[in-house]
Amino acid sequence: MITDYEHFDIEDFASNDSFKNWVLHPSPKSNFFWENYIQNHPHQAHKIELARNLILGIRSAAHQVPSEATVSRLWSTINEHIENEETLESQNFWHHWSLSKIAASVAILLCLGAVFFQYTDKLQHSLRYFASDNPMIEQQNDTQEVLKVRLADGSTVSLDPDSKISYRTHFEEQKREVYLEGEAFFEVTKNPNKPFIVYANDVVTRVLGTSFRIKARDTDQKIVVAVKTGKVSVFKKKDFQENENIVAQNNKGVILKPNQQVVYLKSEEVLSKTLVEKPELLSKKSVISFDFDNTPIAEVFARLEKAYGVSIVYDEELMKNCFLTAPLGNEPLFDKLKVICKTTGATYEVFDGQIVVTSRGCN
Amino acid sequence: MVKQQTTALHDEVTLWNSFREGDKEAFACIYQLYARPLLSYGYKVTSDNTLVEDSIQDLFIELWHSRTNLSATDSVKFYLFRALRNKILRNKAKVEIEVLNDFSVEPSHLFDVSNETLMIDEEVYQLQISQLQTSLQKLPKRQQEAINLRYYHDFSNEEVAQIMGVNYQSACKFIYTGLRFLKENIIIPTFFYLLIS
Repeated sequence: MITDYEHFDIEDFASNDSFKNWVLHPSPKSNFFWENYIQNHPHQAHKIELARNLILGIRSAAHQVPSEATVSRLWSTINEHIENEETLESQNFWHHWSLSKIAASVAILLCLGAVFFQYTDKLQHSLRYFASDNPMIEQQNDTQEVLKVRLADGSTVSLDPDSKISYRTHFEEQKREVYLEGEAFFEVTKNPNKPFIVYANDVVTRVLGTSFRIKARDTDQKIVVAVKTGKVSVFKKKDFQENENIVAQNNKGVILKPNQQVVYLKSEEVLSKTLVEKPELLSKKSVISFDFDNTPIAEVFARLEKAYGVSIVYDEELMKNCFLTAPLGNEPLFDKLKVICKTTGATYEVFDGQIVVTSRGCN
Repeated sequence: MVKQQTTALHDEVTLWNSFREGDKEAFACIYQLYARPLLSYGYKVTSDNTLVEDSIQDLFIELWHSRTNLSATDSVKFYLFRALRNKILRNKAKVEIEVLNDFSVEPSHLFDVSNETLMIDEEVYQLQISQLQTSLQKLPKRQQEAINLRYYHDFSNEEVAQIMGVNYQSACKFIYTGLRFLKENIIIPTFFYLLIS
């Protein structure tokens, strides 16, 4: 969109294709563009509002419903002509006429339903946008510091430099929606009735109340969503929009627990679950001891799982004779694992957000 | 919304192709989908309702008979609108010779209000709409038709031009001039403006 709207008057906006499509068929993309434009060009806001009124007004003024009696009367005549042609072609099938007439009526009923639903949906849509008095707020961080933004629901967003978020002045009744460009850490207040949804590039993240970081810079080849506390669901934007119902969505999304992250490669359009680079202790005040003294390996892994909220997969039977003696402390999780694996002759890898330990057993 | 549209377009093309292969249910569906918009548009091209209804009947009967010779189309709606306009003009010529006056200012019923129109209760909104209707009726007939096609039936400028049988520039000019007139004639009540801003 390289049109320069700077000197547009009401009729210029109203006759512009991009503008018309936004008013009549708003999409997240066009909403974003135009709301953004209004924010950045407040002196044009009034004209835009009037242009939108004009288009929607013309539609309402032109709205006309032809009588249903006429619609069905015309169809009977048309249908009769068609039937005559057919009866001439196949006179032996005397019953064909009435059968196909029934079929045609059934087809009409089915179509009527489809038309009705399509129509009411469209109407509601334009009405909602017509009555919109809830403008987008946009926060851009041009500084070198992290910018803390507090949202209406008490949630906070720590916005990294060169990043931007936008959201409505008032959140909707059903959900809290935020758009992110760049990188930010979110701490979301719990509200099970009102999911918090972040749209970032091609990835949608839905949470109820938790903290997590999203890296979605336009210049990067990948998008990363990393979870610190709580549970987070991540979706491809495409899947999220296709499935309005939550159950169907859950099948398509990836669920993340603390210290897990999902990486979305733009080129491959695939969400893959891994662990964050440096898993953190779930609780800073943790009293879990990593000072192992001839401790059974099952106990070692159980403590790690509990402290970091990760899951460790291993062959219990095979490793039942493995014991660990190592005075571990504050080193990062992956360093601890290296030590453990070295002393027990095992290897580990991270697969689908889990730690998988492979061992031949100990003697 | 965008998604929905793509599905609708896809269905439209599928219906059209099934119809060309002789599927009568598909044909009935096409009629059901477009009979109302076509009637509503036709009533605006001419004030002779019988002429419009007869033309639609003829159009669909001819469509059925010539189904095997019809070509594929991306937009069934566009195809039907253009065909209907031509049919109305041809049928009209048979009965009488009436010149379409581009600059007629006599009120037409191009934008008649039906009872179903005003679905929103707000009085201010109704006031706004009726003002707009009055202004619309003051427009020359072709401007009314072009604006109606573009904003009510949601066609592109190019499609409006082709349906009306005029060149692209003329269609754009009809629409733009019409909008400028409407803009100057539309009074937005302060209260109403407060509601939407």
